[in-house]
Formats: sequence, structure tokens, C-alpha cells
Amino acid sequence: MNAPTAVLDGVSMSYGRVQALAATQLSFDSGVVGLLGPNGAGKSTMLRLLATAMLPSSGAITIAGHLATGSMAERTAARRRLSYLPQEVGFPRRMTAFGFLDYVAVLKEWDDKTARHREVCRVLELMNLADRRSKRVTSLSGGQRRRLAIAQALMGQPDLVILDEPTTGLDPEQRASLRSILSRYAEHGTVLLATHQTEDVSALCDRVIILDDGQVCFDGTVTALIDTARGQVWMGPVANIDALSSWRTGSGEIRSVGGQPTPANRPAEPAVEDAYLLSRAARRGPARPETIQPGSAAAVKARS
Amino acid sequence: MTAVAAAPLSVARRRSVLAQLARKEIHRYGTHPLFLLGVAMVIATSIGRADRVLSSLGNVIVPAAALGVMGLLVMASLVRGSDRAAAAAGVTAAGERTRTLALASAVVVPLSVSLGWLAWAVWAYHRWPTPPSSLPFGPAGDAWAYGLLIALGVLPALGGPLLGLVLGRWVRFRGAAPTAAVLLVMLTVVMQGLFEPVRTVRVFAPWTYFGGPYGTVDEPNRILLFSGSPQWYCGYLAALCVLGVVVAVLHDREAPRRRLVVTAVVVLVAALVLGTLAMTRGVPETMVNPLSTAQP
Repeated sequence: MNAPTAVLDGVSMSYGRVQALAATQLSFDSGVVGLLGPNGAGKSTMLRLLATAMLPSSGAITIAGHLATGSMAERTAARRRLSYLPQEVGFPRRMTAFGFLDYVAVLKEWDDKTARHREVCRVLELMNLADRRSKRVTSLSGGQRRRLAIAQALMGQPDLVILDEPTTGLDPEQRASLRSILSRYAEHGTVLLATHQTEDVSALCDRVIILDDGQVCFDGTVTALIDTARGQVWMGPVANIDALSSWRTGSGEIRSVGGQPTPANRPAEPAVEDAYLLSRAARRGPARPETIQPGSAAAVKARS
Repeated sequence: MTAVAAAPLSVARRRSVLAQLARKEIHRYGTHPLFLLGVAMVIATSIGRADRVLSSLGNVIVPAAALGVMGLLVMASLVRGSDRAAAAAGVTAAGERTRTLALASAVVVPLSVSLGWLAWAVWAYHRWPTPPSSLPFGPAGDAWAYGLLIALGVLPALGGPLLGLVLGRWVRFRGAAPTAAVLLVMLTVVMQGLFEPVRTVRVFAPWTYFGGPYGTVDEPNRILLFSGSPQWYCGYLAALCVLGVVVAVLHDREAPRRRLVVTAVVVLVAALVLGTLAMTRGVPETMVNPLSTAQP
């Protein structure tokens, strides 16, 4: 039986008195795993822990059979098997795109210069940056820099690719291209990505985990997540009563998530975003800041 | 997915990674605009006949400033670049300690230039010898002069960048390197040997004079020879350089540090001993040339 790529065994993390991640038990096999959650939910903390960028307050982390929370040698062995894209990346000013990737490749222990240069050229090509290879990083656009940061994470064949909001700043074409690349990576390894883009999750992920307030509140397939919202999403001329969230779509109809439907509304096919909103609301309680009440000024405006 | 245990890197391969990284840092150092400016300054001041009074002994401040003080700024900039690249990669197998050692190895660049300058300085010292009324005189001879050229011309080219490495590692304040450069120059002014209260302890400063033309209204051609030994001062500065590397490497909290702390303490003690020897050996007291002149 194949061993999981990564295992979190009772892992928790606290910053002083603030608990960022409650005791968590998760294991990751090959495939793309999406990590959803609001800001401050603990997504980046979980990713940093998995990337061995910091040690947990308690629990054990295993990456490709190496105990990352063990000795320095084990942690280094784990690092050889993963790559990580942090959420915010600052680049060295005087390096070119090629120079930056080449430098990072050496840090990743590519000591054979020919093989290293070949790999750098491959990822530059992969991220459509081959014509920018000799440009200084500071002269690249925001999207190009983001692609360069992703390129460093795609070097080699890591067992675990950890990406913290990789699609931020990418245009739709680049996002589609990245999805294609990541799905190919997932054939032989695990891709774990934290994102706020629910369409990325529905288009790419085999599995989705929702984190809220440092706790895992959903862990399952995308289909299972969407099923939790079935029968709670409606379309019609007016918003549902007490809808969790409602908005006017491009067709002019109001899409309502949760709440009591009016007779004029009909059930709609739920999406990941609807399920995510409902999952959040189930934890949050009764507050519904985004509801458009029927008959309210906002609803009238939406109808008009 | 099969979790295959990765074979640990062999020592040879780990060294190869360090060597590759060191080559990159050497290239980055060698192409840094501030370093190139410093080299240009050293070359420009070495063209033509050496000083008539001090010969090349009067040039020591040039490599110290152009390669040492500027090297401090260059290295701090390289550390920042290396840290940013590593941060962009999140985590890598080669850790901070490897990067620090690679950065430290880049000092071979300014060191090579300063050794080239030393070759010129020794040649110029013999090609255009100092007059009898100048340095060296009395107990100071050629060995004193060579010690002076190495201590004040060559070793600062090593020490400045290493100080930049320590600051880059330990001080997050962005302006730390320029501030340190200004403070270093101010300290040198105070500890140059002219001020009587600090004349003996001045050798504990990272740069100081061991003599020079300090004329007065009555004796405009007066040459002073300060107490202390530039040869032992070389040892003191070399110990400070080693200490700088150890302290910079110590910053990596992930790697074991106990042995490094012990090494740092040993090197610090050695530096203090060598500094004391630099203060007490060599020229016993301040002397004046012509020797017949009264009190300095």
C-alpha cells in the first residue's frame, strides 16, 4: 500500500496565547488538495508547518517518510522532497529571472550546473517566461513575478508542492495554464494550494479542506462539498428571505444562498463558493451581513 | 505515491553545493558596482610615483576605504539579496549556514585585489624608498613596514565585508550598513593615535595609524612613530575576521550552535590576547623623527 506524501499527526500551532491551528489530523496522498478559509483561518500557518518553515507547538509532521519535526537531518531530508511558494515574495533586486531561479536551484542542491541550467530553462518555458530570462526581476510586471515565484516551486519533481495563493495576480489565461501544469504534477505527487479563488478549487482539486478559526470544518471531495449546498441555492427575481448571501447575476436574476425561497424562486445548481459560504455561516452563527432583504432598498435596486 | 526515503547527501556533494553557491556569491561580489568603484579608486591612486615622504606606506588608507568600508556595504547588500532569494523559495535544503559560508567565501574577491595592491605597495616601497627622516625609523624596520601594509591595507579588505556579513545577519535595520560605515570612520578618527588618552588602546580599534607625518608649526616635517606592533595587530585583525565569520554563522538557529559558541569564545579570547600583544610589543613608546627632536 502506498504511504501518504504528508501526514499531520495532532499538529497544533500557537503564537503566544493565540491558537492559529487547533490539533489537526490530516494525511495527503497524490492529487490536488485545495485549502479554503477566510483570512486568518490558519491556512498559511498550516502550509508553513508542512513546508517545515516553522515547527509546530505540538504534534508530528511527516513528509515523504521523513519526520520533519524530528532531527535537523530528517527535516533537511523532508525539505528535499517538497517545494513551497510563500504567500508574499520579495525578490533580490540585482538578479535576473534566470539568475534568481539558478540561485534558488543551487539552494535546492542542484549541484550539476548543466542539469540545473536545463531545469531552470524548463520552468521558465513552463511559466511562459523564457523571453524574460535575462531581465532583472525588478523590471518584471506583478504577474510575471508571481509566475517566476511559481516557477521556483515547480523545479524538479518534488513529492509535495505547497502553494500559498498561487493564482493571485495572474490573468485568466495564466490561471488556466497553471491549472493544467498543476494537474500534471498531481499525477505523480501532491499539490496543496491555499486559495480564495473557489473556481480554482472546483476546476482543479480532487479534495478540499475548509479551515476556519484554526479548525478543519470540512474535508472531502469537491463533489461532497457541493452536495452540502444542494437545495440551499436559489435563483429568481427576488432574494430569499433571510438569505445568507444574495447577488444579482449577469442574467439579471438574483442568486440566493440559504434562507427561505420565495415562490418565484427556483432551485439552482450549487457551486463550491455557495457551499463554502454555507459552511462558514454554519460556524459563524446567525450574523448575515450580506443578506438583501426582500422589499428592502437593496432588493428593489437589484430587481430594477 | 510511494514515499521513498531520500538518501542523505554525501559530504562531497554537500561541499559541491557550497562550492556552487560560493561561486555565485563571488560572481555577485565581483560585479557589484560599489566594489568596481572601489577597485577603480585603488588603481587610480596606485598609478604613478608613490608619496615622496611615506612611499606606499601612505597609501594604506585607500584599500582600507575603497575595499574595506565599501566592502561592508557590498556584503550587506549581498546578504540582503541572498536572504530575499531564500525567502522567495520558502524553504530549501541548503540552509542559512550554507548561505552564510558561501557569502563569507566571497571575500576572496576584495582580498585578491588587496593582495594585488600589496604586491604593488611592496614594490613601490623598494622602488621609491622613504627618506631617512621618514618612516620607518628607530626600532621599526622593513618587517614593521610590511606588517603595516598588511594590517592597514590588506586585512581591512577582508574585515570590512565580514563586518557587513555580521550586520546583514544580525541587524534587520535596513540602514545598518551605512550607519556602521559612518561610525567606523568616526571611530578611526578618534583612535588614529593623535589623542594621548587613547593612544595605547587605539590598537583595539579595527583600523589605526602606527605613525605618520604629524607636523606642528615649529616642526612642519615632524614624523611620529606610535607605540605598538603592526605585526601583532595583523594577528588581532585576523582573529576579528575569524570571529566575524563564526558570529555570522551563529545566526542560524536551526543548526546546532554549541560548538560554534565555544569557538567564538576561544577566538574572542585569542583576539584580546593578540590585541594586548599589539599594544605592548613592538615600538615601546611614541617616537619622533628626526630622533633628536624633543617631546612629541
